[in-house]
Amino acid sequence: MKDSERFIDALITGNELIIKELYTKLFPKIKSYVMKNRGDSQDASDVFHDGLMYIIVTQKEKRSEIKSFEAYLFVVCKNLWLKTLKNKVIKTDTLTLVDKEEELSSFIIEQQLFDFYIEIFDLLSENCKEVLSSYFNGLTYEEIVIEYAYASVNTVRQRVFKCRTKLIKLIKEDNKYQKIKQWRQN
Amino acid sequence: MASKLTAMLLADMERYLKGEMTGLELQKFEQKLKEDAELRSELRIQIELFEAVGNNSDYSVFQEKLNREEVDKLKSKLRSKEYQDLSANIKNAEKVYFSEQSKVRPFQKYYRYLAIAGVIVLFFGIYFSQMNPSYSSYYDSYVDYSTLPSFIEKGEVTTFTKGELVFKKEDYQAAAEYFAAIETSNELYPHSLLWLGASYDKLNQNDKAITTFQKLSKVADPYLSSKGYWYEALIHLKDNDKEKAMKALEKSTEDEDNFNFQEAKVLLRKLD
Repeated sequence: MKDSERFIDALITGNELIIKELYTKLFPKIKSYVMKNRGDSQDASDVFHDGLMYIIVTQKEKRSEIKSFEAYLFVVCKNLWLKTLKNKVIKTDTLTLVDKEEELSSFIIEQQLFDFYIEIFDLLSENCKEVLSSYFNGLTYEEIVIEYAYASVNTVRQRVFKCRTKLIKLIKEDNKYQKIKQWRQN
Repeated sequence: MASKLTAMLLADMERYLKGEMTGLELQKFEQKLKEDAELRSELRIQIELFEAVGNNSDYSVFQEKLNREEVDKLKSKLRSKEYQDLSANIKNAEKVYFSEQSKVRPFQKYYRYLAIAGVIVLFFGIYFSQMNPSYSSYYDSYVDYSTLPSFIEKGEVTTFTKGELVFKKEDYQAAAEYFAAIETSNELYPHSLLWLGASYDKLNQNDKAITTFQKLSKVADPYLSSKGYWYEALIHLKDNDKEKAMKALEKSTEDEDNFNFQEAKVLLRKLD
């Protein structure tokens, strides 16, 4: 059995022995990320626990394939930590009440939406992925021209428009999107 | 009128998001956004894609904008016994992981001194254990109040949440006062007993803690009542009262759906 399946099985059945193995293998990397980004070891523990809970909630009822468990968990934990940091900034008042389940629940919904977008994004051609990834990472059209040696800004503009349209079409055609749409407040 | 996304409109959205629109143009665009649901949805997807694909998620789109019903559904799922148990499994595994970590490192560095210290400890350990068997070490290794269920809701301040807050700040005297003030008619009353017992335990008022946990073990909800037996047993262990601890643990192991059923079984075997 692949590592990722074994880990997911352990999480949804509560196999503490394998979950401990997961800690040994993957916790140090998450801890180091959190500590390098204004967190302490307690924050790292919380983030790791919540990251694993995210995997349980999303995989328990319907399993989906995760290519690399390690990479996936890392992205989830990283986003969890970024969100925590952001919330910390908003709530400068130290007495602000924090509802853990509330925060984790909204994180789960948001992250599922992100996972869905990434899943669809992966269906695009390599060229589209390259261009759009630069575009959504905030590169200007001029910068993309230089990066990929395109003929002109106009060519890039057209390319981005075409790829983006394709992406949106795939998103809207997917059955999951109908469900996901409900998660947002209108 | 609904807008079909053209290259021009995309360019407008980009400029709007970058904050490059001003004056009349900005006013016009925002008016259009108000009137045109499809444009709003396009703009929203655009922002979400920036966050998801751009790997720079700052979640600003979502702030307070999630469907309340969905959030509540997930919240009650996370609070269900099934998920609380899975969360406890993770925490147990973490505990084992940390205890192994702390054992490995210093041992490699100072193993010689530790070996000597170990022999001494072992010698005195055997000596003392024959003089006066200590069960409080079981209390130390099993007691864990970090998993007490929290009922803090955003923006809502109740006696219960005040109690939780001061408990977390380790002001157990104040916590005990808050939790003791919760009426039996309050729906959180059984949970308040749990927190109250924990507060008394922290204050080393063991008798009061035991009485409180005994009250908890009489509540109607079988799962909550089983928590009463478990924690009562721990306080007896802290008091070095093996017999009473075993009695409470026997109650804990009567039903496999009980709180910490497995742990109670193991502990009972160790004590026997």
